Amino acid sequence: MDQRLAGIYLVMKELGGFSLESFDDRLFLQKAIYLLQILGIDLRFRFSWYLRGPYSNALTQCAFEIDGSDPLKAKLDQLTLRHEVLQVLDYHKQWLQGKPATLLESSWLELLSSIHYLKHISRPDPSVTLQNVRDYLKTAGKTGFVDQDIQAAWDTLKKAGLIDRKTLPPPATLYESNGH
Amino acid sequence: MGINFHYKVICDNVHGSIGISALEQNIINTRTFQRLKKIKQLGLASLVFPGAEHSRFAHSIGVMHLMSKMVDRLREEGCEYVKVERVKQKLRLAALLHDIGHYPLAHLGEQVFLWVDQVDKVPQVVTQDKPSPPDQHLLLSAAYEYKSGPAKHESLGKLILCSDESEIHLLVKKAEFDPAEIARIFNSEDKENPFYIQLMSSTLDCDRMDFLLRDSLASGTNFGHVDVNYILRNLTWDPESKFICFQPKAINAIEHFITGRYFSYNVTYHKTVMGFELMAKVLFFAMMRDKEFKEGDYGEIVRSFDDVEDKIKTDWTFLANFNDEYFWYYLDRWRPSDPIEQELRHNLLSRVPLRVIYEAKVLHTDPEPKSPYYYLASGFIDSVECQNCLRAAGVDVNRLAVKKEQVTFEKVPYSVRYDQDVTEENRLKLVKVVDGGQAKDLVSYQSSIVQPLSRYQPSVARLYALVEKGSDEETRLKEGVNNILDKHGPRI
Repeated sequence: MDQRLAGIYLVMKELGGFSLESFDDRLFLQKAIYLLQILGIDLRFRFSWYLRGPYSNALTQCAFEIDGSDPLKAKLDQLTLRHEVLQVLDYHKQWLQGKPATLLESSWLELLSSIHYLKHISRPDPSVTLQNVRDYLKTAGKTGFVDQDIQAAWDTLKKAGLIDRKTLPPPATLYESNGH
Repeated sequence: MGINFHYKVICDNVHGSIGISALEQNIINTRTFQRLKKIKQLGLASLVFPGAEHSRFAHSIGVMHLMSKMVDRLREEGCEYVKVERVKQKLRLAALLHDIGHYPLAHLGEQVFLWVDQVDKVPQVVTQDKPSPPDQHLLLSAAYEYKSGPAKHESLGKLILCSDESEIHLLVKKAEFDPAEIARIFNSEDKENPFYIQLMSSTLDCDRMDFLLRDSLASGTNFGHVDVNYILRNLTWDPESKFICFQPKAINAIEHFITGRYFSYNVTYHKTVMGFELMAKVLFFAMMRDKEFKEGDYGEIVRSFDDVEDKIKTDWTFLANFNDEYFWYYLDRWRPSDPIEQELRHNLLSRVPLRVIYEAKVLHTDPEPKSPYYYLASGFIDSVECQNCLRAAGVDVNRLAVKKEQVTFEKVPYSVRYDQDVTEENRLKLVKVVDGGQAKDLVSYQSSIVQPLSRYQPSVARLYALVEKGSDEETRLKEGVNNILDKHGPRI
């Protein structure tokens, strides 16, 4: 069983449903998995910066592989996420509940993941500040986010410990059954 | 002073004379690039098509040549993105080096390293509501195709190109090119320059054009008799959308190319070739996981992508030997303890393939739920019927594998939802035709056969077994499986 495919499908189901129908669906998927990984559940997708923030080609391919196969979905429907993963997804749910009213869920996750990426990955420098990130967002063409939203996203990440560090540690129990 | 792209000339059996620059010659002469001579383009296909011995080395040079032709044509069309000569050299380098990161046995080897990575590094994020079946043999797991992961050959290629100690890195930097940028181009990661992505990674890119011609010639089949030169002569671009496209008069030739690719799968997805690849994949994986297996003049066998990275960092000569011979060298010396692995090893070395017990094909993207293909492709081996059949035939379930192959004609099938289905990324890769001065997706043309073909996904599922040819087990197994599956409809 490919844990990555199972992880993508079940995480999205948990967050409201697995769908690639609209652009927003696909944007939501990309950012949700990015955030899942920085919260410690590393599905080994690697992201680079694209127009709407961190993006993984490989993730898109995997998602379309699931989307194109009803037998695969049926198989994945028999599985459940482990308790440790569900705990991590509580972050997502809290964040979605606390999003600014003016933003779509996908845009909010886009903002969270973009700030994190700019702070820790594209310019890995501990002294990068919120103002720096604001400037980077503007340079990257993300002028649709107002200062209050950017502040709110920064505070959300800070509260989760993701401003002072790049990722949260993975739950050790998830790796116990690996290997031969 | 301009770059002399005919500093030396290489004679190629597919394209004829290929000119190379001094920088390219220096790169080609490095041990790192020379190792591609010992990585076959088609993996184990030569076990079935004896002429298919051509290498990634020749293919890489061929791709560079076709990239150059595309760039020259676009320059003639006034394309601003390629008018500078150094850009041409940069794109040629990306094409030349696009396969530099290939593993022993090419895609097969890559699958093994992705498999190991999955087992070692990806957390177990799910549980099953039903109890897990007993531990399955590797043969059953080997059929799974991993589409992505950090161990992809593109990642190894990037490592080779970007490491400070790498001879290719030093040559590229000395010539004042950015190795990281070249890696981004050949990995289609250069999102700042979507134009380059179209040249390197689309339905009609320089990579595919070369391997279609080369694989056909080498294997002795005829699917590659496509007029690629005519297609290239009709290459142009749309300045407004920045898409690469073709003149409408090339449509028939492009359709021929697309269908030619479909026929090429008779070689790459040949049932016996796929069987051998399953065997080799299991053995490569098992060798890497066998902690007792340490011997070899090349040192201990690598056990993961991380191992490969570590070895490269300490000793670049390791890479020179990291080719198809690496696999055969260790296979020759390895003595597995598992009886099935022993048999697989013996059979692979003696060219005894897995037996095809059943084969089912479909054409549609939504196969009939009750067709033999659907049954076979959806956990047939776990079914009660199959288990009963195996008991009756006296065959251990661990001797079976189901392998599926699928072919697509275009990146996105044409449908009423086409405009919603096409992502930005996919749009770059679709074949386009210039229409009224604008690029239009060929798949949207009602008059093109590509449109109806795009809705089909020819697929084949095969049940393989490690049994002796002509044995009672094989006969009983075939009879039992036929009885189960044939009642669901025609198998092809």
